[in-house]
Amino acid sequence: MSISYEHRSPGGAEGQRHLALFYDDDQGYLDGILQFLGPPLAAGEQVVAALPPERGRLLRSRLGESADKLELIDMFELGRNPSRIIPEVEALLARSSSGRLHYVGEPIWPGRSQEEIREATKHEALINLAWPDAPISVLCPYHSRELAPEVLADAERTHPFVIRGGKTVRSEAYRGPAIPQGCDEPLPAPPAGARSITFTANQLAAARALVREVAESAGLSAARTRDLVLAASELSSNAIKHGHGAGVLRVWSQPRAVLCQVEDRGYIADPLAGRRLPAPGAAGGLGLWMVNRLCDLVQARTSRRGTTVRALVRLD
Amino acid sequence: MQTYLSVSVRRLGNAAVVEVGGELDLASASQLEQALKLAWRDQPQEVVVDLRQLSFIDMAGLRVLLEAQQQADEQDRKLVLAHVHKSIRRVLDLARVAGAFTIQDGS
Repeated sequence: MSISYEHRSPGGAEGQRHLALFYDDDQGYLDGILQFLGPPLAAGEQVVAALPPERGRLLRSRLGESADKLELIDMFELGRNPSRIIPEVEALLARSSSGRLHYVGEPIWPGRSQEEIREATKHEALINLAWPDAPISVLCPYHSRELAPEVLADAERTHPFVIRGGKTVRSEAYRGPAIPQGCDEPLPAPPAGARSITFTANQLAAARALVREVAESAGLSAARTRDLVLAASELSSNAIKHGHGAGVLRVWSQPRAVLCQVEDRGYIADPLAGRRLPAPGAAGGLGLWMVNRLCDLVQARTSRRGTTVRALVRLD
Repeated sequence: MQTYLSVSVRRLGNAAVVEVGGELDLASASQLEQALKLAWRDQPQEVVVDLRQLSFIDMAGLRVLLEAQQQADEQDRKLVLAHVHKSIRRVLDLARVAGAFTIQDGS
């Protein structure tokens, strides 16, 4: 099935613009970002950059005095769990007084784990769905020499326009909000030693107790154990409410993290589930959003056959 | 292992005090709902939900509290969450609902 995706012109006045910047080195990085940020900075429009801290320092030193007008955010924090980025940017949009928000976001950097890159790629695809009509320009830098070829190929699928060597071109591979295949495949099986419990509403407390037990044995702090237990409770409740009353929870530890996973027979129809900024005071449908706030990485795979959501909390 | 929740309702002058202990989740939320209905029936001027012994709350539990707050607002009556300790407060903040309530902080 071939679908043609509308490429909004990057010069157009209306609606979202989403561009990937492929760079080879620091010079190309800075030139590309300045080409994007220069005019709005000069015009006093809202300019935000969420970058790995060392890239942020590089940009700041190049900008010199005008760095004062740039809001610089640590992407290691903002994008630790890539699912958090869309609602955070939405909050920036809501704060934005007038004109266009120019946002540079680098959620994929050399050295980031494959699992994290997959979720960040999924996030990139979903930007195209999140606020298509919002007055926002999004520039996403990709290191074209140090990132894997599949990652760059996926960037061309998730961005309508790509900037290479100073030139902006339409991406023929653009597929709108479709998640690139490699980022939506079933998750690898949990380890053989993972503890598990099949639950209905009557076993919610037992499921939480199991997560608490594994987290505590792994040495997770009391506060982060509470976070993981709460996340597990939300995921399990979702399984009960939307997954036909039951699910399976698995929990295990790795050297640097504790993970829990809930599988159920439900289907998450909304691609942006868990990524919408909740209206203050509303509590409906927020389970997944809470899980994204609480955990350091959340991987959700859903189809008509069922849903698996895996949540990870780091031992730090 | 069913979710353990203890709920008691008593009258204290013009207020009804609902003491909640244990864990408030999807399985136990209806117990609190029932207790709140009971508390309102007596027409108190205010209902105080004492959360000192509450060790766990998630979105399902929050929903019951939010609905109670909404009902109180609609009927022009007062609802107060009392003894909200730090970890419960964190959940309210994360869910962006803390502002919806009148909260008396806990020790």
